[in-house]
Amino acid sequence: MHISPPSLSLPLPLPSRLSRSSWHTELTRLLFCWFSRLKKVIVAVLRQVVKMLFPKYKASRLASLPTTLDPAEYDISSETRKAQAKRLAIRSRLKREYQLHCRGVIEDPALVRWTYARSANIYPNFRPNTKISLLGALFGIGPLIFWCYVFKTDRDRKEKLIQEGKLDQTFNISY
Amino acid sequence: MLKYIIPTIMLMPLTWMSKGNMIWINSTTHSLLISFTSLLLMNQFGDNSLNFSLMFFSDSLSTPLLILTMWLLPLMLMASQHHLSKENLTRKKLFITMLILLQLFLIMTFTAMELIFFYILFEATLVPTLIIITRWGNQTERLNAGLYFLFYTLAGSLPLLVALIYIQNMVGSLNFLMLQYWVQPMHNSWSSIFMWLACMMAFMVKMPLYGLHLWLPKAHVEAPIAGSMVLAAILLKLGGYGMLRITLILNPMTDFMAYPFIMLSLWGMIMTSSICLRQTDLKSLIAYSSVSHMALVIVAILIQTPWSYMGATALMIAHGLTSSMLFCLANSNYERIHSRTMILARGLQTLLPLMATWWLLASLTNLALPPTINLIGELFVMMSTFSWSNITIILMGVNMVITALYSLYMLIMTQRGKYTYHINNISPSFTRENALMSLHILPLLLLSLNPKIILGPLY
Repeated sequence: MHISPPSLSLPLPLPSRLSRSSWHTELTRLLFCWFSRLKKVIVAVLRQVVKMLFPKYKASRLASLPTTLDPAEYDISSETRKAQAKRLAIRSRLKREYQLHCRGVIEDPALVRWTYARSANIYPNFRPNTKISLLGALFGIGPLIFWCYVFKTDRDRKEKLIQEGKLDQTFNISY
Repeated sequence: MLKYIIPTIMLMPLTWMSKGNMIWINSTTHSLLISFTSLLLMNQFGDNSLNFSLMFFSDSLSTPLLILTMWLLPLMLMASQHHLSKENLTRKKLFITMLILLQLFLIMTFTAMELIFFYILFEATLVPTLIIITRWGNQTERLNAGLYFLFYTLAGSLPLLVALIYIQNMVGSLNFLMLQYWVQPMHNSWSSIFMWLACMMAFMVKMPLYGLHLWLPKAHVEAPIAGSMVLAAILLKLGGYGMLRITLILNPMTDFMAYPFIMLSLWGMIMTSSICLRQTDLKSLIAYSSVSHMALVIVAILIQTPWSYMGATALMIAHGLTSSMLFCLANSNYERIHSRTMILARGLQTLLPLMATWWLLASLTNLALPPTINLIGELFVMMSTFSWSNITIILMGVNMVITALYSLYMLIMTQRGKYTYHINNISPSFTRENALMSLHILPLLLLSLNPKIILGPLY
């Protein structure tokens, strides 16, 4: 017959006066105890600091939560999974078609529309009402009349001075 | 003169009878040889003209323009090789024939001695250009562009026909040699004013003057590269050349009749330069810069002083080479990305560094950097307009600043910065393109060493 000896679990720590160890092993055990508690405290503080500095990723206005961080991702039903697979198949078929056929120049229809609107489609959208007609006369014909007047008066004044002989032309070399 | 006309006519059978793989080689080399013979025209008398016959002559005004015309044909042929490579052989030969025909008419126009002969050829140059623009252009707007180009010039030049026939009846001859000695001052009446207008409007539309410049951006943008080159380099100068010839008979009314046109040109210079800063289309920017430079030439011709005439002729030659080179550069962009929008192809200096050198040189000459002939022309014009009236310095100064601004804007937009990610697979520069650019810039740089040959008859 086998008799298994009863397992003894030592309660810890044994009071020092009950053990037969010396003072330096006692000191080591005390220090070990304190250090482990200190380590636990430091680790707890560091965890808190790290949690503050590197917060958990949250979805924002311009960045949605990636599917791997979304806890709901792991509970999705099999119908949703099948629909996702179908959509992925369509997308990859289109991408393969595009890559095989559309090599070379890729044109951006938005850019084509923008350049067309800027350069060739201006007159059909032009409506001559009073405001734009007055502005056109002011900025189109106004400066011409202004400069005409300025130059005519300046040249007439110079011509008059030359006729009277009063213009200082001692350094005149250009002609 | 036949030594230029007959070889140019014979270029046409040369292209039609060449084999498919030899058309470009044959036509380019033979037109290059003809352009070298044009340098013989430089052997001129001092202040008189070189008269070949009763129909043709060339003096120091038409000689640089003739050399430029004949230099440009091989360049146009080199530039067109890529976009015509997919057409069939007959269409290619037709295209080259149109270019040769245009060249022929231009040679005869610049050397015409009789003013009605000049007028007929002036109108005849419109036809091959119209065919080139409407048949070989790239967008659907080319039909509209061809229409504007044709009818603006025709409407402007029909009064010129009437005026020339009237002068023929009055004076007896329109031969230029005789007209120099038969000219009398016109009396100050309403009919003289109309005759002045009739004579000048054709060339004002061709130059183009600021208010009548609507055809130019359309035609330049929609034309294929050879069409753009010849339009910018030569056809605009036809207007300047005609104005320089016809002002001989229009004294003394030019003093007061010129005011509205000088104002239009001075204000139009600044307006078109400012529009250049807001363009998104690269060819459109270069087209508007052509209007701006030609406005300077109009001002110079209308104030009629010796220095301004010298500046006008220098500016015409300089702008011809510079503008043609800029269009070739824009075309090298277009052939790679098939779009003229500037923002699509940026940062090209990283991808095509040698082409960036040509871009830099072309932009620097466009903004009239010393000591190029562009600066010499602009400087002469500025000095003579300053002595005409001191206030013009404000407008001219503003124009020079804005010219520098848009030239540098074009350079920085296309060359500098990070390249757009979708153009990292463009083909590198062909030797043909590099040769084309160097053949444009080499005469320009060499002429800065000896600019007196392009300063015209008043030097």
